[in-house]
Amino acid sequence: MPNSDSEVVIAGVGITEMSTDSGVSSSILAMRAIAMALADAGLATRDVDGLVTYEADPTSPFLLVQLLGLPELNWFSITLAGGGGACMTFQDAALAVSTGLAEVVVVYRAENLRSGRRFGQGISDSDAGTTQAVLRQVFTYGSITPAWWEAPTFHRYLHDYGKSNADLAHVVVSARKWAETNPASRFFGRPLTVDDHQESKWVAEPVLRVNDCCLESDGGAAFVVTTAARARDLKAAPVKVRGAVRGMAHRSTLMQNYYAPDITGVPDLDVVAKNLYRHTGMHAKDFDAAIIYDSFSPLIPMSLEALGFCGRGEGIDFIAEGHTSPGGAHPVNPNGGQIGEGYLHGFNGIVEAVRQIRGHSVNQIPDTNTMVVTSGPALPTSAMVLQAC
Amino acid sequence: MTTRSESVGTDVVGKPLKFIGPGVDDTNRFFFDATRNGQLAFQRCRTCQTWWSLPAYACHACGATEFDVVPTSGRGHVHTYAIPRRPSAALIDEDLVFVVIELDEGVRYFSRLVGIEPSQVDFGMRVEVRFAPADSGVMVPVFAPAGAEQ
Repeated sequence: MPNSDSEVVIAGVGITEMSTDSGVSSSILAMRAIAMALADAGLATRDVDGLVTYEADPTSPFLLVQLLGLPELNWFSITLAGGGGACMTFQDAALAVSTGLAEVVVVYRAENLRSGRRFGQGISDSDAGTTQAVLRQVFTYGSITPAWWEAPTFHRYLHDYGKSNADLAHVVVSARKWAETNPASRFFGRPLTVDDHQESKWVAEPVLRVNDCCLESDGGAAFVVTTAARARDLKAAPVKVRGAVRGMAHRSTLMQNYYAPDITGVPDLDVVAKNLYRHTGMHAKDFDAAIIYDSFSPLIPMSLEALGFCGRGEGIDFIAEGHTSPGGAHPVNPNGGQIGEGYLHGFNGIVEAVRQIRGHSVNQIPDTNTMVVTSGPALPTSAMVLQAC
Repeated sequence: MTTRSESVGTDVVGKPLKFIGPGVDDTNRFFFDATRNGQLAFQRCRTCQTWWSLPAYACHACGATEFDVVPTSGRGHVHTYAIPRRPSAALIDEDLVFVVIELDEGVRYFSRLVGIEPSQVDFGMRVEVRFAPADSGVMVPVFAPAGAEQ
């Protein structure tokens, strides 16, 4: 397909170190990531006229205008749904630049999710923000972490398909195979066996162990989104945003899909996959690799099923057979994912997708032109397809 | 850490149970009015009889806006469950078992299972509702194995 001037591209990318203690505030992380993304694109802060982030980011677009001395903004937004909002930010930015409402939009996410607020340690009513009213019912009984919210649905998924936590070990081992050769990962050079996985402690018995959970990290990432025309004379090779969509399922509830007719899937991602495939005319077979949001290991097989990489209930076997691992036909999360590299609400995975398509990832998969990226799927969620220009 | 408003006190299983809140407002007052009368009641659509266990203003099945608050039998089975273990500092109580109950009326409700060793919980287990007082005076529904001694 020929590139038209109004097509939307990612023209720059930046990511800080992902650590257990950044030693700086979330706003500093945001500014560092944005500076790296602008430098990558060959742009300056005076070129930015739009800012987009997503729910729970501590640094608002308005604060960044002041901190970075930005010129006037023509577009800004904060999308909803926590980690489900990762790709929504690109949809917002794409809509803004493709309609001419803004020209250069920076999307960003930065937070001390390890040394600061750790969701996995328990979320207070006030931290839950707009989700508080919806979550009140589960808070009553003491369910106050994302792992605990999601474990009951994961358990039914495993139960109905004759699987157990021991089978999830294959999902985590696959993620760690990628992480083992990624210097940015805390697990660089540290392989994991199925036995190692089974020795880690329970977070929610008999569903999730510590090794099934993402690595809470301090860090920030940012992207420059603009038109193909604007990107033509910029420094970096642009990556096309082929399509970005969002959606929420009928009878969906945040982080606790207990009330849907069938709780063994990710119904919000079912909606998003349908929207994505209708919008782009593509399907699972068209993707060279995938970035699958993995705050918890069961979400990888469940999401692969929703996207049509395999049938319902087949995801764990699909992964255990090696299709998603290094050398497999359907590489998933070649940075190690949020389980293997770090948890940045999905944004580090998007950095990896851009690097793969540009052809310079540390775990480069040959001839990677088209990738699908998902966001947190136990929520109203979003996804996108990125493609070489 | 979480800012909890813990509530204590019940003889359901011979020891106090702890909760967070619950907050009562005009979206869920009907529910706690019923629990005070020893009933687990949900909204049921007056037009198409569809149940829904979370507060709503319109029926998800037919769109009608007239509901009746109808008591359930309080009996059902374990549709799924999980036992929270880590981080231990976030556990508000001992022997927590999170359950999604499917009531015999077909509607689901997230709750806590009490009166059983966590290792003995299983899918499909028959359960029935009990009511535990939170310190705000609100009666909170929990579930216990069916037929267990009160």
